[in-house]
Amino acid sequence: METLSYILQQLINGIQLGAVYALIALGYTMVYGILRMINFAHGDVFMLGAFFGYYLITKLSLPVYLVFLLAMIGTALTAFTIEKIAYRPLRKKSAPNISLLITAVGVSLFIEYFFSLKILFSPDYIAFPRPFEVESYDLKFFVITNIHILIFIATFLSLIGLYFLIYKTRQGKAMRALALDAEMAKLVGIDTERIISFTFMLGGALAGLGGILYAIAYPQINVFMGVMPGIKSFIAAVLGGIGIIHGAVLGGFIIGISEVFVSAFLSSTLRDGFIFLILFIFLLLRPNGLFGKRIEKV
Amino acid sequence: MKILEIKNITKNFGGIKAVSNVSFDVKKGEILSIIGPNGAGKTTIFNLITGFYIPDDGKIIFKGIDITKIPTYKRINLGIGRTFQNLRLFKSMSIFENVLSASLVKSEYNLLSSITRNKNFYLKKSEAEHKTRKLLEFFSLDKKESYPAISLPYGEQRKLEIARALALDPELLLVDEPAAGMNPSEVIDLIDIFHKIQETFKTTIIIIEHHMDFVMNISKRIIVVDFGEKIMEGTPEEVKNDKRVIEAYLGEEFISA
Amino acid sequence: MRLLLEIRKELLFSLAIYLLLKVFFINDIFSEYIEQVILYTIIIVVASLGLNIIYGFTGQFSLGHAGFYGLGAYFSAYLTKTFSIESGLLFIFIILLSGAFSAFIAYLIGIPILKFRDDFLAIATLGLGILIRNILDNSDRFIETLGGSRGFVGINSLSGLEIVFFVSLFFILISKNIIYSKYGLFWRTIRDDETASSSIGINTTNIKLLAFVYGCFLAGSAGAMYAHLYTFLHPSNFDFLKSVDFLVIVIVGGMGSISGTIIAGFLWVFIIEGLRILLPPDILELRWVIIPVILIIIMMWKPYGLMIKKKVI
Ligand SMILES: Nc1ncnc2c1ncn2[C@@H]1O[C@H](COP(=O)(O)OP(=O)(O)OP(=O)(O)O)[C@@H](O)[C@H]1O
Ligand SMILES: [Mg+2]
Repeated sequence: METLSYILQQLINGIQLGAVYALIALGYTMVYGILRMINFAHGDVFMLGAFFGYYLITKLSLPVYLVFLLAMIGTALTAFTIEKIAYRPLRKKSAPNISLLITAVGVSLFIEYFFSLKILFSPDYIAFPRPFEVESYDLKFFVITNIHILIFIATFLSLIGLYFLIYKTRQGKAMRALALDAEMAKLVGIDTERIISFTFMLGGALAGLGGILYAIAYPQINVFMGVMPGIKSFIAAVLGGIGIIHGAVLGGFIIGISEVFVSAFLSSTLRDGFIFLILFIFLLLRPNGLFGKRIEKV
Repeated sequence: MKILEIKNITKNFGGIKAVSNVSFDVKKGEILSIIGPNGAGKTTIFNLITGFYIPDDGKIIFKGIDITKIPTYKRINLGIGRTFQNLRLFKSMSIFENVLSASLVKSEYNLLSSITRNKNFYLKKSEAEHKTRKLLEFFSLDKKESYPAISLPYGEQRKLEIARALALDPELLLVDEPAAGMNPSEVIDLIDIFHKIQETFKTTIIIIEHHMDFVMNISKRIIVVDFGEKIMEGTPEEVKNDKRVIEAYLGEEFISA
Repeated sequence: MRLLLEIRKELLFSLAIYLLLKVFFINDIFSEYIEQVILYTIIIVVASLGLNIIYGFTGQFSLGHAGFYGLGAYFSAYLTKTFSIESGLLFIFIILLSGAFSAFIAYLIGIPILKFRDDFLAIATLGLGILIRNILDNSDRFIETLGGSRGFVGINSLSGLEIVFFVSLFFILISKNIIYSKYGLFWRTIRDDETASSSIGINTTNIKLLAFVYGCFLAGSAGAMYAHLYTFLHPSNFDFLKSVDFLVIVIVGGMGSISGTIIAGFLWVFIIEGLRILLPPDILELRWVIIPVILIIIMMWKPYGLMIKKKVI
């Protein structure tokens, strides 16, 4: 009985972590879907979300919903700016994929080390003040906290919002058209640059949301905190079949739950390595991800 | 003598039947043409023969060997050469290196002799270089051999790609739309070149082409495909007057240079 | 004999450099620190050359190169420590063995991951680098000597001028001969167009694997020399940033250029070490703010990489 409830408890924690990964993975998958590029700096946008949240809470002591809203706007604008300054000029030169990736690695390092300067965020760990008291409810088999509930609800709502955006609005239709065939999208008069910006902003906002939620759940923030979650969420997107929205969400949960289980039952120091092991084995078996199918055209 | 036998091959991409149940034979030494409207599945047939795709069904026999499932490089080394519809040259390399790379594929020296530079290394190297030069002369590209491949005008890039394929000494050469993007006088040149290739190298050739004049001029046998299916096979005369062929092309731009 | 004739210029030039260095080293014209930096630079050049073969020549993007460098370092240090090796000749053998060890691991891993193309390969190799780092961090759990996150201490100091210089020279000359053979040409055709390469009968899987394995061999050998130069190893010496270091050297030196890698390697280490002497530690932290900016600017300026070897009329 006790082990069962321990397993259930870990499952709840895994879903919580997975929800955050899913939010980050969505940005990777949407950008990859339309540009075929890995936005390596996406994990750092997530980190910035946590820091924006930190400053909005400590310096301005705003109400919770405004903290979320403003931080998400902040990360959306950051993502927009990164795309505009660093990636767009390269795309204009139709640079090879790898040059875009190297640039993205550069942007990522730049953000991390620039903000780790003493006069900015500093490289130290900072305690994140939760905007509300933690309450936990004992449901007999496992304990659930209001943080769990907040994360589940926030993720759930943003997924519904995202689906609505992608499948019901003109912007969303244009995004899907662009992902399907960029040339065709241009021909039918879609302003591709605007849609690309829009996609980056959407991904940025979701990552920002993920950042604050993550900081509330694990209240220690640091300029490098986005690196591993970023990479793991990318792996989540790959597992789900990169470019596929629901794949990213499912992948996020798979990675989050696996990570928590590996930490709980095997070894917490080996968990990062373990995630990559999952990736290698998985890609060997299904090179196109869970839902992906594509044969390269010759 | 049959050099290639295609037996009921089928290839689907998701819902699209790119090639369905196509069969034909190729006789040693002939020039066979494949025609058909856009998206008919012509290029897919080449990709199936060269192993870039594996058929969902059917068999491909080359020189009596079943090659249906073996990897591309093995098929090529059995004696198949090909060009691509959208030109695939080695862009950062010179004209000479483009052909040399193919000449060196069958060159028999190993890693150790490239490190120690023994006699065999130099011998094989000069053999490959000699062969490359002769091919470039054949295509009148020798004067420009050290230019980057992409500095050539389009028509000559197409020739270079054929030269590269011929450096493999293929018994079967697959050429995908060689005349695309060429002007009428270049097309006439190209017809001569193929006749010369056939004489000099005794190569069996399959050509995919839209230019009807070109096809009529160059091959005695034509295969017509439409929506992935082979709709007929015959002499240029027969094809020209066939109702099904005319229907297949109806509404399609039927280029006649 | 023809081999010697072919490389006589490089040999003479290198001998001259060696003698010059020897004179400086014997007469203590440089401080010990500078001497170490010079040897370190040569080692970094060898490892970077390895990445240049994998990425610059063959186009297989790797973000995990430092992992293989680290594997060679730990493997060699473990051997020399366990068997108390102090002779130079045996050490040369250990260097080669450590290279072979990294190469072997690269071979095992290369078979599956080289199937991926560009960005996926990047993530897979990045993951590999993190996995190796993760294993090194926990290494003391299975082999106490390796030290885990406390670091590997008490390694013999065996990487003197002669060994580092001539072993590296040997590697560079071998690399040159491979690059100017059909193998090097096939590496370049694969970088340009993998599909076209297989259409001319190249076994692209094997040729890519050769580049990856050989590049990692160089990394592992360089790691062995590194371990016995600084006599202390820590997992953090082999993390993602180290891989970025190698990448920057390859990109700045020019993808597919041996001499470029050598020059860029020297510039790189001297700039970083030079900054370390010149600047106070606070400002030194700025270097990781500036390096990415340099990287981004190079990419915007020449998205296809600097000095891709191209015969232009
Ligand atoms: N890798 C692939 N993935 C999905 N669909 C493909 C792929 N390759 C080919 N197709 C589809 O198969 C069909 C046949 O294509 P194919 O290129 O063989 O036609 P084709 O006869 O060569 O046409 P064209 O004259 O335009 O070159 C087309 O509908 C094409 O879109
Ligand atoms: Mg075609």
